Amino acid sequence: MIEAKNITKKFRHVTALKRLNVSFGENRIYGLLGRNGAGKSTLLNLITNRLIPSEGFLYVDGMPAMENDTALGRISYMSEDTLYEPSVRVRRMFEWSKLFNPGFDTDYANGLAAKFGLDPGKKFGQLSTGYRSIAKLVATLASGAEYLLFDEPVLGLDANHRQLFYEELLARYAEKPCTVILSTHLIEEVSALIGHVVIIKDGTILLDRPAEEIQDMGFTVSGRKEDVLAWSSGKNILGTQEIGGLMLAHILGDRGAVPENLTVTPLDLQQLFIHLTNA
Amino acid sequence: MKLKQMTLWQLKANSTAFLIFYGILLALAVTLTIVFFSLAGSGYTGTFNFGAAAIGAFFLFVVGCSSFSENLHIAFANGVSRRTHFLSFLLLSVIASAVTAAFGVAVDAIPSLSPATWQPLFTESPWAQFLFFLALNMALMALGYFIAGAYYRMNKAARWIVSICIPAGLIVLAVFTVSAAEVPGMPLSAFAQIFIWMASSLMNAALFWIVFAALFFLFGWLVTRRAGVRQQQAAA
Repeated sequence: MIEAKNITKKFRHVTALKRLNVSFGENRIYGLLGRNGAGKSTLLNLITNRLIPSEGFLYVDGMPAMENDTALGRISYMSEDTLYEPSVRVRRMFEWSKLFNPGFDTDYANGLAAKFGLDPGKKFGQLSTGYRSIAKLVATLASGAEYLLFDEPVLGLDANHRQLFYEELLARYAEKPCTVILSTHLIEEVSALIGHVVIIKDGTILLDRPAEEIQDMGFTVSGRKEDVLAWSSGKNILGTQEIGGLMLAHILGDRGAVPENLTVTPLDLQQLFIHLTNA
Repeated sequence: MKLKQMTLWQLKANSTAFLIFYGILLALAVTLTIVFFSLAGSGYTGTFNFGAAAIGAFFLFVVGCSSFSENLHIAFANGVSRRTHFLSFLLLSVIASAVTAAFGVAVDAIPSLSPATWQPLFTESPWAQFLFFLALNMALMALGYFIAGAYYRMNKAARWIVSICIPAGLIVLAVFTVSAAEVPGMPLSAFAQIFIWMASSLMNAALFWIVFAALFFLFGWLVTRRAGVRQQQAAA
């Protein structure tokens, strides 16, 4: 389990995280969500010792994470930043990953690279943004680590590659269960994958719940505009969408009895996120 | 602790550069010795000392300068702590300094195979020369690492100020120190005495560079211990 206790991170003029408490349990897929500048990358950088907290403590499986090679060796983190020099070849990065992480599966990494169409002979400087992301996510998936952290893993990836990444992530998770933390802005795409949602807003945890509980927090009704408006009047509406004469309303709270002319579906995570983070 | 892995990585990452550098030095020393020997046979006169060990010290300064940013990022990318990253650099600097000093002293002995053209740079024993260059190499590696680390941590404005003020201050200090060494009773005469003492023997100089190295390794650790990833470091 990864635990952050009373974490504060101050930069010169900005407090990125404010006395934040959160834990990431074993063998679950977490969605770490938040608007730009909310503190997601800072939290992941702190967990992986790439930044030092101003206050508070971080633990990995009960061990302090700060300056602890054993604890840090259990985590593989694909960051938005590319930490390899432009002159480094992808193949060389795999070799180095194997040197530092005995559990790194080179055959699996090469297989994934082939699936994504990534040429391991290319240098980082020769790769497009999308392929740089692919190189990093392949290294993370093949790391053999118990905790896989992804910060914007699909940055620059086309729809086909994004789909392939989600499939490979699930296959890796099914074969070798691990804790996955996905920090992304593409909420709709990952909503089917994640089992637990953590939303950060202004450096604090706004929501930390299992996905199924979030679905129980509300619901979406759809139908003719007049019917939806009439039925949802007085309810806590998160947002609405209109297409022609039809309307979708995302509503927070118990659904109660719903007329037959309206269709009810589970609450859309993205709508909840927008509502919570706009408030 | 991933000290072994991090040290191995540094050795692998630097081995090509070291081999090329040693190869060039060796080839130049042998070629120039043959050229000078041939010229001496043709009636020309002249002396020759290649100074390979001294060139090696400057090479290691460059290695020190390039051992901060990339190494730290490789450490971050592979779950290695700053402490392990720094210790592995310390270990690399001892190994690289010793090998380069031994190689430099040995290469500098090549011109002595043609004594007619050879003017020795040092009169002390090869062992004393090795100790001196070992200390000098470590000192310059430590200095290079510290400079790279300090620049990594600074913002743009601080880099400009330091880049102008430190060299200017060192030039002024050197001028005053030289003046103080020549005229007793000047404000910096006690400081100048350190350099007079250092220049009196190779072992004194070795001792000076060892203290210098220890000091800059300490400074190097101070800039390493709270260094973060570059993009977010810039905001700090």
